[in-house]
Amino acid sequence: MQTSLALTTERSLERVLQKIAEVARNVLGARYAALGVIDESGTGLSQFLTAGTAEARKGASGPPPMGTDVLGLLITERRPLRLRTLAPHLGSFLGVPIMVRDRAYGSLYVTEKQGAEEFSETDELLAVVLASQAAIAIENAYAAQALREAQEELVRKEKLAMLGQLAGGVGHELRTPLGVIKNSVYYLNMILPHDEKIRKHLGILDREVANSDRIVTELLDFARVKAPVREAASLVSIVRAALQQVSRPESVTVQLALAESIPAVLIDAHQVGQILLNFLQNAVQAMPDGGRVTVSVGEDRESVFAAVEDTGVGVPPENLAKIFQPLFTTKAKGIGLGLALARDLAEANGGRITVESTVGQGSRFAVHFEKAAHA
Amino acid sequence: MPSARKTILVVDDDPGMADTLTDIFQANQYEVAIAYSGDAAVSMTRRRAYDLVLMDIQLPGINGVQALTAMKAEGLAKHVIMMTAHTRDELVEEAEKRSGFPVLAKPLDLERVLSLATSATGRAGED
Repeated sequence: MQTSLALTTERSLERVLQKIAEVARNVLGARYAALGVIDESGTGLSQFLTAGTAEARKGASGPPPMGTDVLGLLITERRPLRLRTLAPHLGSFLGVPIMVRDRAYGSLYVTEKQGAEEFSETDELLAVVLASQAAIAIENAYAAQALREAQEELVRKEKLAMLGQLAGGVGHELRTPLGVIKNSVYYLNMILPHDEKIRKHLGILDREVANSDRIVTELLDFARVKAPVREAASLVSIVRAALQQVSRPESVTVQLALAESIPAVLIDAHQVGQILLNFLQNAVQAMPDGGRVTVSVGEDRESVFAAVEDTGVGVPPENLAKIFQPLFTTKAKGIGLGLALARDLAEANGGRITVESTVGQGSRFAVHFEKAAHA
Repeated sequence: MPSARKTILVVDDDPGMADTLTDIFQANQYEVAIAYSGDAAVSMTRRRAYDLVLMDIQLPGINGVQALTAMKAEGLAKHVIMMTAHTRDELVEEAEKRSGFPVLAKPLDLERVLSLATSATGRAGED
């Protein structure tokens, strides 16, 4: 009873599990106790806590490998194991799986029963109880993490929806005054006498209206992520179309590595085109002094991908997670919606974006899609 | 020459937009009238014929597409070109279908507006 009270007051999973290992060693009269939690891949341990071992030795030996040995057996067999001798010179052994319903999260084991040759049936029962305490703690921790992630995603989505509404409203409202300015400039160009300075300033007005309109278009694109219309489409053609749209200085060269024969994917060609155009624009902007953009389309086992690689400034590691958040930007110009929009569009099309970057060397942005099932 | 001037009805609830378009068309030898709502546009076309109606989709009262539908139903306007700041509005497709012209996006490409006006009013080769 005391144990479980103590457990509920402990907040961190690691501390709870450490306590369980210590209690197991004391209650079961063992020389040594250990508790391991299997990681997500199922091949290693995400947590490994011991009691009865000197810290130095624990650090030196590290967690045992997950495999076909006796620890692996606890997981695969999913039942307690009690042995008089684990191996020559290793003494008695009692191990139990940490289970919730039919999922095994790890194992708890003790070795070298003090004052007896082997662990008793009562010990085994106690070990099962302790393991179930550990299981509850682990499951709570996973549930709390899932809840936290769901909340964060919800906040992000709400933020995006609110921004979308605002962006849409502002965008449309700005289009009319911009249109009026553009009309005025056009009119003045028609009627004013030819004067170099006048032409220059009218030219400036015209250009800046066009720049403003581009920003508005970006806002509106962001505001209106429509449900994708997914049809079998070729990534190569989408990449080619996006390349036509991007403007780049002569100092930026383009290299193509397009695997023409890759299978079609079920995507909204317009939306995926927006993603690639964004990658291409970012790549060009990342190379103010010129450089090389490598655009590739290829496939691996499960997916096909389109990637844009530049030899530009790169993204510092601390910014890598942030670049997909709306309103985050490191550019002097821009509102920070491009990659946030790209990520939403990718997800809406059943895809995902990956990014690799080295500061001073360049970045590689790729969008991956599952291969369309063939009939 | 003045008697041969083609007539254009500009329909936009934004006075700045209506004014600037009026000046541009007048400078290009058109005779221009303005309506600030869809209802006003329909009753103006009932009173006299215009060679071209250039009309926004988003208008107070009846919207541009409704006004266009009324004009077409009553045979009031031969050529109607629609424009909008909301290029992805559902009304755009309907406007294109009913007017027979592509819907122009604001800010307007004025060269294109003038060339469409020229061909719609049959003024080709005049300037």
